[in-house]
Amino acid sequence: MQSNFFVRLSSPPVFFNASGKVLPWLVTGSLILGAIGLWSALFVTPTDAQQGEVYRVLYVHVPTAWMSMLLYVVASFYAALHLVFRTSVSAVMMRAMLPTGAWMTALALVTGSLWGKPTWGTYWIWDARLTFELLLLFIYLGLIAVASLIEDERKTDQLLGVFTLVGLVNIPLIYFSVVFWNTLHQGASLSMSGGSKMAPIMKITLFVCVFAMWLGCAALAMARARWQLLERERESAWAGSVLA
Amino acid sequence: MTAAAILEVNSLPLSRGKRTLAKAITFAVPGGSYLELQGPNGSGKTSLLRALAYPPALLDPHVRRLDAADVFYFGQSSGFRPELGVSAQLALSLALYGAPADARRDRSLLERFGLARHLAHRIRQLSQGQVRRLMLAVMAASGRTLWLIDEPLNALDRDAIALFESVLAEHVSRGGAAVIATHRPIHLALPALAVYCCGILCLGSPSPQLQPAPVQDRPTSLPPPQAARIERDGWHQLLWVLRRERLLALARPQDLAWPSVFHWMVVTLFPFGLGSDPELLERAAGGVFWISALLAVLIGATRFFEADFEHGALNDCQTAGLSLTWLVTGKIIAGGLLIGLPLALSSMPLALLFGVPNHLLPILGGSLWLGVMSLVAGSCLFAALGLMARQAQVVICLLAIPVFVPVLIFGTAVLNGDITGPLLTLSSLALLSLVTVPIVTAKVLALALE
Repeated sequence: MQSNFFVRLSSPPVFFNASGKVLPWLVTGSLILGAIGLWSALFVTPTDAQQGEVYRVLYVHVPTAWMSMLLYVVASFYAALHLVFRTSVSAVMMRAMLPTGAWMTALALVTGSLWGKPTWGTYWIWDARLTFELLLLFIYLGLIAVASLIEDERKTDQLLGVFTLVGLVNIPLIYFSVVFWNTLHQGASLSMSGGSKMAPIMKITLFVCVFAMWLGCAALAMARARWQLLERERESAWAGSVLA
Repeated sequence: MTAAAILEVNSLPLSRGKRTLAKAITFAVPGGSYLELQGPNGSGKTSLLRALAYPPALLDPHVRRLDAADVFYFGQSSGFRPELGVSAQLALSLALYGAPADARRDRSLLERFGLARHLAHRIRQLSQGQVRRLMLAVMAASGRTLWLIDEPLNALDRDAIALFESVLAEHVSRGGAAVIATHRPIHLALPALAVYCCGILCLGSPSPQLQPAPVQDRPTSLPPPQAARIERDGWHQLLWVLRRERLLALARPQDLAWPSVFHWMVVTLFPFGLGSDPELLERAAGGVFWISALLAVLIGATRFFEADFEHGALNDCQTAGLSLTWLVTGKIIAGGLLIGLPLALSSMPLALLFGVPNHLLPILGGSLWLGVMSLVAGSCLFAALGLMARQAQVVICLLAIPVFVPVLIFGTAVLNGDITGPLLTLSSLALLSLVTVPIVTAKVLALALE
C-alpha cells in the first residue's frame, strides 16, 4: 500500500497536486520555527562566556552547514532514483536540490567567516572543514553549470545524475585528503569550543533553528521542482489545466 | 520467406527529441535482399538507420537482428582520421570489424576501388569521393551480414556508383541484407539491383507504408553468409584501441611534445611571481609542478574524444561492437603513456631549477607519472561531457578541479618529506580511476552518441 503511494508519486500530476498540499505547511512551519528560533537565539539564550555575543551567528551557521551536506546526499538519492527509474519527478527534484545546496554552502562559508573574524581574529584559515566546504561549493557550482549546458533535457538529466553520483563518491575522498593535507601543514586545527558545555536552552534553540532550516530548504526545493515540472510538461493536459 | 529474415522490425516508434516521427514501423528484410528507405528531409531516415545500428545492449526491443552484433553502418561521416595513412586506416577499420589481417587483400581492395595510387597518402589528402570509395572498400570486406547505408550515392562519380552497385549485388547474392536510405530511388538509378529489392518504405507519415518491390519475381531468400570473423574478447579490443592510439601518435609525433612544453612554460612563470629566493622556490616546487601538470593535462585532455566524435570514429566503434569501456580504458592507458611519461621525464631536469635535491628527482618524476594517470582518467570523464557542450571548456574545468584536489594533495606531499604513504595512495588512486572511470565514461559517451 505504502510503496504503491510512492510509485504513484512518480507521476507528474500526482506529485504536483500532493506537493501543492504539502508546500503551505512546510512554508508556515519553517517561518514559525524560524521566528521562534531566531527570537530565542537573539533574546533568550545567555551570552557565551568565552566568545561573547558573536557566538549567536552559530545559530544560523550550524544549520546551513548541516544542510549544505545533507542536501547533497538528498540530491544523490534522487540522482540514483533517476538513473534507475528515469522518472521526470526524480530529475526535477534532483535539479531543485542543487541551487538550494549551493546557497546553503555559501551561507555557511559567509556566516562562518563572520564568526571567525572576532573569534579567531581572521576571516579565513585553511582549516580542513573550511576548505572542504569551499570545495563543496565548487562542486555544487559545477553541477549547476552542467544543468544549464546542454539543450536536450533528457540527456542533461542523465548526465546530471551521473555527475552527482560521481561527486558523492568523490566527496569522502576529498574530505579525507583535505584532512590529511591539513595535518601535514598545520599542527593544531581550531575547533569550536565545547559542544558538551552548551546550556540546554542553547541546544534546544539550535535544534529549532536546524529544523526550521530543514523545512525551509524542503519548501524551497519543492517549490522549484514544481515550477520546473510545470515548465517541462507544459504541453500535457494536466499542466495546461493548472496554467489555465 | 520470413524464415531467414536477417532484420525484423515490429511496430517500432521513431522520434527525434520530443517530436514523434512515426508511430509504428514494421518491416522485415530477408537474407539476399535489400530494403529501400525513402522520404523527404527530416522524415527520419537517418534516425531509423541509427536506431537499427545500436549495439545489442541498447537496441530497441522492437528490433530483432539475426546475429545481434553483426551490422555495418555506412553513414555520412567516414570514421577515418585525416592524419592516418590510407592503408593503415584500411587495416585498422577492417580489424575493427573483425576481419582477419591480410595485407594482400588490402592491396587488391585498394586497387579495385581505384585507390592504389594513394597507398602512401594520408586520408586528409583524399577527395570526398575518394573517402567514400574507401568507406565502400571497408564495407565490402567487413564481412558483416546486415548493411545499414545512408545516402550511398553522395559524392560518388559514375565509376564509383558502378562499384557500389557491384559491391551491393555481391553482398545480397551471397545472402547478405541491407537497408538503404536514399533520395534517388536505388531501383531506378541502378536497375540491375532492382531484383534484390524486398520493398520500399516511405517515411514521412505517422504510419509509414511498406510498398512492394518493383520487381516481383525475386530469387528466393538465401541463408546468411558465414564470414570469417575473429571473435574478440576485451583484451583484443583493448589491443586494437592501443594499436590505433599508437598509429595516431606516430602520425603526428610533434603533438606529444606540446603538453610538456606548456608544462615547462608554466613552471618557469612561477619564479616571476614568487621571486627568485631559492629557499621559497624549493618549498613551492611541489605545488608548482603539480598545478602546472594538472593544467597541462586538463587543457589537452578535455579534447580527448573530440576528433573521434566529429569524424564518426566513436560511432563506428559502437556499431562495430567495440565496447566503449575498453575504448576509454585504452585511451587512458595511451594518455598515461603519451602525455604522462613525457611530462614526468621533462619535469626531472626542470626541478633542478627549483633547487629540488637530486635524490628526490626520480621520486618527483615517478609520482607525477602516477598522478597524471589519474588526472588523465578524470579528464576523460569530463571530455566525454564536453562532447555534448562544446562551448563549455571553462565549465568542464570548474567541474574537474575539485575532483583533482586529492591527487594534488598526495602528489605534493611526496616532495614534502613523507614519501611511501602518498606514493602508495597515488598508485591506488591511479588504479582505482583506471578501473572505475571507463565504466562511467562509457555511459556518458553512449549518451553523447544518441
